Amino acid sequence: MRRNFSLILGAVLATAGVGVLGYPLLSQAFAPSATAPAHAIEQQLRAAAPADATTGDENTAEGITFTDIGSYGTDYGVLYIPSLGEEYVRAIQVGATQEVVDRNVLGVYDGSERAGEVGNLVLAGHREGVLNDLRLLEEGDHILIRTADGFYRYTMTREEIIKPTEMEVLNDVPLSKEAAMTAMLTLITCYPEWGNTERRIIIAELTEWLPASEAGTNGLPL
Amino acid sequence: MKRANIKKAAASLAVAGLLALTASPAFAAEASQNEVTLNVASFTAAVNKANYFTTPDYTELENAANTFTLTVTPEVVTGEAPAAVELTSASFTPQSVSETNPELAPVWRDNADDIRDSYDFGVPVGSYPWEREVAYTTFTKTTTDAADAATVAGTIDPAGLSFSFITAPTHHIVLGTSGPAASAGEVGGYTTEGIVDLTYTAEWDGGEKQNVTARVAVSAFSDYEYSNISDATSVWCFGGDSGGGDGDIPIEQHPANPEGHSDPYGLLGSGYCFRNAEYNIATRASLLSLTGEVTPEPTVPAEPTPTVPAEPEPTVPAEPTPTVPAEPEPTVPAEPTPTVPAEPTPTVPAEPTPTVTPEPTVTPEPTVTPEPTVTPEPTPTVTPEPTAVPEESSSLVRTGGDASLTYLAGGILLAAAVGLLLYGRRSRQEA
Repeated sequence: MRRNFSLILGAVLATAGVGVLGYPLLSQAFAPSATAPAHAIEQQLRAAAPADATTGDENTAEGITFTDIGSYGTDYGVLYIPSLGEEYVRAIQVGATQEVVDRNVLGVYDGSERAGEVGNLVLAGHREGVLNDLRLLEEGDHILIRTADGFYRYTMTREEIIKPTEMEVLNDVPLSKEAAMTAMLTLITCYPEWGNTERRIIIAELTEWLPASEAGTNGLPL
Repeated sequence: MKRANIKKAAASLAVAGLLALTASPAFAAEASQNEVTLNVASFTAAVNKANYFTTPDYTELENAANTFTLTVTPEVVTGEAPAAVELTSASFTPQSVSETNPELAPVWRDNADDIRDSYDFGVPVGSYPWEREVAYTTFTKTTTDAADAATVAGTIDPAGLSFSFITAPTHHIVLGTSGPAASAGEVGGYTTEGIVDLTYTAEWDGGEKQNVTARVAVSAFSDYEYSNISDATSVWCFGGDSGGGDGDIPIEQHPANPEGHSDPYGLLGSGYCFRNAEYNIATRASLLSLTGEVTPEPTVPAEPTPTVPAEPEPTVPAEPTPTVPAEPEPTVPAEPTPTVPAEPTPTVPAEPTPTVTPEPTVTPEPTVTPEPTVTPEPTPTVTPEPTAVPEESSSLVRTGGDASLTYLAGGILLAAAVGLLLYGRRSRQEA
């Protein structure tokens, strides 16, 4: 009787252990797709005409047209990281809250500058989802953001590991108190791979802007 | 060229010139008794700026000119001092006039939301829109036109022969931004180059006369400095057809603007407008280069000299001496005493009290109320940092799960399961 009990209990515990260990993998497998919402936004951007921005208004500067950041939860654009694959297409929505990032999209931090605008555009996303493989990025890699008004090509300049409390990463110049001179992009995701006690920061600078009409040319996605 | 360099160069020239002059065969033959050379004592330049901003008279503006003063002093090298010195001819031949206005242009490139700003410096009133692109570019004018030739006025003084000459008679402030008026002139600095030819006769008590010619190349730079432009309070206009309005000083129509322009704001006449400011024009003039050659003419014997040959008259060179001496002497630049040109004291003419144009009322921009950011969760805390964090004010949003406990629990469960299974199997074997 005792022998049978031990065997049965052992089998139950083994099943439970496998289940517990497999849970993270299963939850990741059943997480919302990272690319589907991005492709949906892409479709909208292709269909939509560029925003009507006139030189001299507040939506342009130095030949760059900016797209206003809308209200919370709305789509803002799409992010591409070509060096991580053609399918590395991620949706960007407004708001870097748990609710938004749990949609497996990139959330725009409140107070961010518009893409291409001098200052800091800060995006947060899940390490296992929308910002997976971020550790593979290297300096010089391009990060492309597409909005209704065009393509903003940023070039990665550095990577940092910071504490979650280092809010200076949201400054106009990330982790600095200097005044912004260029348009910056900051990506934030969790670190290390099995925990969330720190944050991985990718910082990039704007190196090119191309209007939406150039889609499909100059190495830009259609 | 820096002043020190000018001094040095002039000194070298002077010494070289003096030596060469003394060694000159033609001159030496006659210079056994008295020898005179020219000493360029000073060179100054002044801008006839008084007319630029103080008098609403376009004619005077047009006639504004540079005045350069070259002071020449005869100097006795050997022998006695002459009893009299007479300037017999002096001429100035302008070679080129280069005008520049490099750095002041942005001051006048302002847009014209404020109507007053559109009137600064010679903007044709009718050139709508009020904003304009002012092309204050550099240009060079080369002229040998007789109209640009110098006006020479000399005075004779044995102690110091001095005279002045006037160049560039058509320099005046830029008028207009495009079209014919724009090319009429530029404001700013300009360089004038030319040749000064001098001839004078020195006469001694014994009746000896000696002619000396000198050629001096002159290159002078002068410019204007404006100040308090931002304090401009009114506009003057020249050549109007409305004849009324604040700040208007109607005068006769300028020929460049025969039709005039309408004045929709009622402020001005038409034609050309100058924003009145404290244009403290400081004239800086310096002698950029001074080279010359002094050529003594053959001595003219005194009339009653008994040693006069039978010929009726000694051959005296014609008065308008060719600018290049016919004699084969080495042409040596000689300015014995280099003198650094004294900078003219910028005499700023007193400006008449300008009519003040009332500032246009500026309508304050409407205050834009920022859109409130809608967040699904109440976000009570806003950090003073530039960017507020929606959820946790003191930490970045969590972007990954913490799986360490999960893995630990799973490992414990599996270890316990393995233990139990091994125990049960062993018990079964023993049985």
